[in-house]
Amino acid sequence: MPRKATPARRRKLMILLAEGQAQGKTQAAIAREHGLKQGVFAGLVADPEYQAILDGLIKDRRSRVLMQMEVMSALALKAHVDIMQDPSHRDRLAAAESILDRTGMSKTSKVQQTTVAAVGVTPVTADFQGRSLADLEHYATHGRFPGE
Amino acid sequence: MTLPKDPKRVTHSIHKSSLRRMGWGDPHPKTPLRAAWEWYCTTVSNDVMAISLEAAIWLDDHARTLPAGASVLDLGSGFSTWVLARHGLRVHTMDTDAVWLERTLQWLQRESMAGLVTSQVWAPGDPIPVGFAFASADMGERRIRSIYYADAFRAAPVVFVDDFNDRAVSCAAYKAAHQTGKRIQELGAETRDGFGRFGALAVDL
Repeated sequence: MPRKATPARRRKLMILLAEGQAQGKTQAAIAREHGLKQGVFAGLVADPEYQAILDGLIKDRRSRVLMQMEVMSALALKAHVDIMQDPSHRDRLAAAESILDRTGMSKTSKVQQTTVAAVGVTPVTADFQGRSLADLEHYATHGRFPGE
Repeated sequence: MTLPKDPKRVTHSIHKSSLRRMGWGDPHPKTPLRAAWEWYCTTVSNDVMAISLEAAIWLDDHARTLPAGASVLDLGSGFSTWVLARHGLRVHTMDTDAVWLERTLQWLQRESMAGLVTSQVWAPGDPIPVGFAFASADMGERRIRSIYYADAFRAAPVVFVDDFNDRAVSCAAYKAAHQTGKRIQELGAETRDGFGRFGALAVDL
């Protein structure tokens, strides 16, 4: 008949099992890893104390992940500030904004955003050719022709 | 998104210029002009700020048709200045940005072309000289282009307008054409680049 584990040993086994299971390992794998006999964890899973240990472990891991994410977001923010301050990257951002501007994808212009999709299929001429000077001036000021 | 490996299987919804940017069916062989443009875009400027290779090729072809020594106006200095000067044309280049203009002139000096080029910083309200055989208009931000297009169109019988795909630019060009008695001819097929940019011509009626 197997020797009954002492409360201290039982708790130690529960912690080993909870840590292993939190990492997705099987009971057999955890036992092998720690040089324990197969079946050593039998009956522990149903113990409310084990559930409390497992819940505590998961909670602890979650809070650690949150802390890591906070640290990483601070690092990410710093990286972004560094990039924005780097002259060469500023040039690249400016160049990117310039091409968006030149292709009509300005953030401020809804009218042009809609026309960008049409670049390549709608000849610009079709819209402007034959328009009166007054119409063109209206378009230049309002971004649309009179009556639209 | 995974791109198809065989360009022949690409659907027609992908524009040929996109294929070119992906390195498929490149229609521009490694000519001296292309080599110079690639060098320019990696040392002096970049392919976003600079005139597109497609527009540069068009300018180059047109410059060939002009008599050597003819005066041309280059509004917006840069690679276009080099393209025009390399055909022995006398180029008057203007720019809103004095620092950029100086940078272009230094580059042209290294290319032994400075003798063909005169330069001038332009600010809104400044006059634009006239009497040129040809002009290229690609100077300053979009919002200021409507200010000088009419003057630019009076400067030469044929004027190349870059960034015509931009409706603010094309609207300003059509306005200037009304005011100066020119007609607009799109160069979409000839100059459209991978960003969708293309130019147009303003020519005398």
